[in-house]
Amino acid sequence: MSRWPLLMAAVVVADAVAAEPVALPAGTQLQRPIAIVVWPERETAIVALERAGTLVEVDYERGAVNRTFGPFGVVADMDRLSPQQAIVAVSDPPSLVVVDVQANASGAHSTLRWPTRPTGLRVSGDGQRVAVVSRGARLVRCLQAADLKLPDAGSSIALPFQPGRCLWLPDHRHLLVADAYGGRLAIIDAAAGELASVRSIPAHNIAGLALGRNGERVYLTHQAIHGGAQTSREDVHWGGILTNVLRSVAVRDLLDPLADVLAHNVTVHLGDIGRAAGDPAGVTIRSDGVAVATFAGVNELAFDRGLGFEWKRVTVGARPTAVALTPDGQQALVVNTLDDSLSVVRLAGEGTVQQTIPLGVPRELSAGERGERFFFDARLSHDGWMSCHSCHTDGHTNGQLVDNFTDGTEYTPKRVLSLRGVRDTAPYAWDGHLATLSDQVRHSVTSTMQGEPLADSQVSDLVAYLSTLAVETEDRPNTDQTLIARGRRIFDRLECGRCHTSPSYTSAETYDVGLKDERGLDRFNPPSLRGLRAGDAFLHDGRAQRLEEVFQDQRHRLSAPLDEDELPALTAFLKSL
Amino acid sequence: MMSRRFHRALVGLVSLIAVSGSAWCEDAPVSAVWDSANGAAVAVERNTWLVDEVIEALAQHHVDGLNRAELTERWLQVTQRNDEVPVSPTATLSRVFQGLANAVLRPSVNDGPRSALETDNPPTVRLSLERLLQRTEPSSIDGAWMQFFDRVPGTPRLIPAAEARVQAQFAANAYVGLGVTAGNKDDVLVFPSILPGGSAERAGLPAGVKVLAIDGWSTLHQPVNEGVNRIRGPVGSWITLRIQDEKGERDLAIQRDFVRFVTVHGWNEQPPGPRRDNPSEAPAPSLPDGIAYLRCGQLGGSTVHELRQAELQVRRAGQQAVILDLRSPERAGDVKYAQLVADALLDEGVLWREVDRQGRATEIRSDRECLFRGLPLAVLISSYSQPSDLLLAAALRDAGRAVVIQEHRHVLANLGLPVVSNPLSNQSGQGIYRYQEVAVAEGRWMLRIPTVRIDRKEARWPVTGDSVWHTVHWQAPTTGLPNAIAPQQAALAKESKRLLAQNPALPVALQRLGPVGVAVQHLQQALSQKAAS
Repeated sequence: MSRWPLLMAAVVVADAVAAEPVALPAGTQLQRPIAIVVWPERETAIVALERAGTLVEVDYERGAVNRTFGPFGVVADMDRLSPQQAIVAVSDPPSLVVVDVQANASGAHSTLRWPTRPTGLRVSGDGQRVAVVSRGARLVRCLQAADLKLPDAGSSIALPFQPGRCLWLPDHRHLLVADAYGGRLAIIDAAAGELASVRSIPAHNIAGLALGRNGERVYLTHQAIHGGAQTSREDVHWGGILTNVLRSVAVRDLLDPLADVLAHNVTVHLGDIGRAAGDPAGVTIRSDGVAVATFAGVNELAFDRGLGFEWKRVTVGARPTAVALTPDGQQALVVNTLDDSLSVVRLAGEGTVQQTIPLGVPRELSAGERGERFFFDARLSHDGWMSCHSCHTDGHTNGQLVDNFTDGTEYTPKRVLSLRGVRDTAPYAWDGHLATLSDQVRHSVTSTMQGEPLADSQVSDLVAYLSTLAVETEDRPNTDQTLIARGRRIFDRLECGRCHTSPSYTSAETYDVGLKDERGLDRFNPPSLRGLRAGDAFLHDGRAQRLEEVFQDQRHRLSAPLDEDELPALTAFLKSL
Repeated sequence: MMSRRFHRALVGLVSLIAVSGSAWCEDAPVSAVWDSANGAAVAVERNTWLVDEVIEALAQHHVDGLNRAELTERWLQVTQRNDEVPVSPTATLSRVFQGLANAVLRPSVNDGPRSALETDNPPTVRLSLERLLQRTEPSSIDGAWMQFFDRVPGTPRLIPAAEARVQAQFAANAYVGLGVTAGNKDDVLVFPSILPGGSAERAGLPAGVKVLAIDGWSTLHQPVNEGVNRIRGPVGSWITLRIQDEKGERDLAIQRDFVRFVTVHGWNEQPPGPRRDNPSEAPAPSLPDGIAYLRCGQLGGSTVHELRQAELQVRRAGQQAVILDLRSPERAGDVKYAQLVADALLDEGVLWREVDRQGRATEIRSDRECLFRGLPLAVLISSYSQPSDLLLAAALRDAGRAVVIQEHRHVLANLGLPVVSNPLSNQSGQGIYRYQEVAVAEGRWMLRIPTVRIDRKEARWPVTGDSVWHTVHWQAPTTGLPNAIAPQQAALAKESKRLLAQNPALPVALQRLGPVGVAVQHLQQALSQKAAS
């Protein structure tokens, strides 16, 4: 556990606030609304726009944007700090911003520099605590809201996984942190400033967390991949290989580190054959127990009175990722991330979209943006079970093993590879038989996702989007450069670069590295080593859980064991790539 | 006269099986597909070629690592024995009947992996006696194959390529067709029943409709299986039927579509009680409210999906325990789907171990997803259960997830042959296998080879139930052989008493539910233990 000085640059800025209604942001790219909080005092909702870097206040009755706050940078998340203030996690430049949303004439705000890139935050139900997670740095930091101005508030807690969503439990003391990619759940005791437990559930892409109505249960939206099944038409069709899930677990099981977190679990499989519910995301539970969730891959808002029996599904905008309820619970406000819009849905009868409020100026999308929409669109798959994102979470990997026939065999599940930096790593697939990214895209959609063949324009759009996915460099560990330089020398001495050739740290051939899959495949195309630090499993079947195990246990291409001090140097170098 | 009686008896039995089988799943003896148009000599010659190929494939892939010499020896054993049988019209007829009796009886009374030439629903009985007589020589080839495969562990199967595709469709619950059953009446093709949800139903075809022609091909005097083959085709393709019903004759174009079967029945049904020999007896009592009853007709591609849906219903009804009835398979199951279902019903742990040709063992594990979590589970198996059903039951029992109730069914057929059946009794040393298909005969045939042996977590095969129930099925003989049956009945009664004495005392009310009652007894015990803890 380390403590960082919190540098606070207290600034009071007078933002230009236009007369109502304000002009919408008209950037050169999608503004990407990502988070929403309803503000009952003002009968409005505040929406955070990732790329615009702003907050907007939306009058959902009138269907107009009242005010804009910011820009603050690249916005990662937002929550309500107090009736007067919203708090914003800004990933670039890394900072927290507290915005006064009640101020009439100006959006006064204060900015706190943050030592790592914040990727999510949550304020406890009593408003006393703030939790900030940093995905790449695998850290969570909990602090008292009152201490936000102190230079050294709270303490950072290291996590064994990259944190994604988080949720304060009803005691306002314990924080649930979900894996950004896989299925791990951590409980943080904020009062003690320590990690209370880490457990796993059969899940990946945990994209939504919500408290149940009486605070006894936590609801999670996620996906699950099932071993023993393949990405055949039948296994996709029947939900054999991948399912979309709304799960609730008991808070008491979460709080007891020795309890089976699934002991009182209830699982609802979302969607049905013929109409799946790919990529469930935002979720909230109404005071009468009605579950309201977005199915982000199929552009739907769904609600259900009986928890799984009678879902009503309403089409909204592109990639609805977040949802909030109006104070009377009669309407759902749905954030359409790739449409720059907010859908207002009446939660009665079959459900009705009452209005769609634009949050940006409609314009022609770039190839990359069109490709991004395809990437997150489960309708490209058979019946809408999965999108590219379902396995390559946000362009990275869900860390699962999938038996997807890419190497032409069955019962040979392979680790899903990250797509960060993918444009530089041709050829593709573990056996390297797909020469170009276009080939891989076509193969994935028709074979793995069992979708219809893509048009050429769709393929080139997807490739354009994939080409924008870069290895994250901001989260390189702050390691001693001497150690890294030593690791590089070991890397060179061992001739690792013969297969993992700089600058992409891969090469076009396949190699026998002493590994065999279940059907005897013993030649693999080397995955790129760039961005390796973001991995949670290594080698084709994920047999090494830590990078060190690749050398210690698997003795990957080693003729003799590494010396005790060589291993830290080599892994430090690899993690710096 | 005797033969005619014999034949009628077989038809009677088959009709029982056909109800639960897939009535259009046709057989395809080697002789029929391996092109005997050029005469028996050519067929025999080609068969020799096929034998070489099959032995080679088995030697290469069979999990037990059998060598060519051993396999050749086994082939010679069966063919030489066949050669010793004098080929006379009477002898041939007798042999045909023997094969027919095997084909018809064995699926109903014996549960091991079946030989290649027995299909789930042997339609041979639909052929006239004259047609059978025309096939003497090729039939003897078929018989040899059957005997040969019976001598190879895991009983490989030789299946026409098209049939293998159809079987894979059935296993995955993705059969493509019109959604009809097929039969023969007045020497033309008829559809005795129309399945709900199929394209024939959507086209408004009535049950019992006569089909005079398929895409211009007349069905008059043609075997049913040929008609069925013509009905099959790619999903979405069109077929034109010349039909005749009460409205007269007309052409009808229908699009082939997936025919999906329900594999999990019964969450809202009452289970069948024990067979009542006296119809005036009161029906079996209902199940207690808190216990759900699910009858699984197949472990197929859709089964996990259906169990998920059933779980919602069970939880909504507030039921506290579940009976999963695997006693009466309707279609062939598959180890792959047994794995998916076992995985879905089990919370983390080892399902079983799979051993490959090199002797490497792999643990097949379950993830933490678990349907009916916290609800006690009882699984019913019978001597009719498929190997995949038994595998599932064994996995659930070995992990402590379920109690297994085993029903021994004794069929007293009017042939006077009581069959005391015991799952895997003939294969107790062999166990259950995963199969891999290898194309032979220029891709016309698929050889299904056992390539992986499945070992139970700790116990050995066969799976033995925690409790045993004994059921005697009595079928009134059309021509009585009461004297032959009486002693068998007495023997069965004794055996039945012995086995039932192994069970805990069953309350009278539950006795009326038969083996389901035994399951209820176990579940009630589990629930009271759970409540006490």
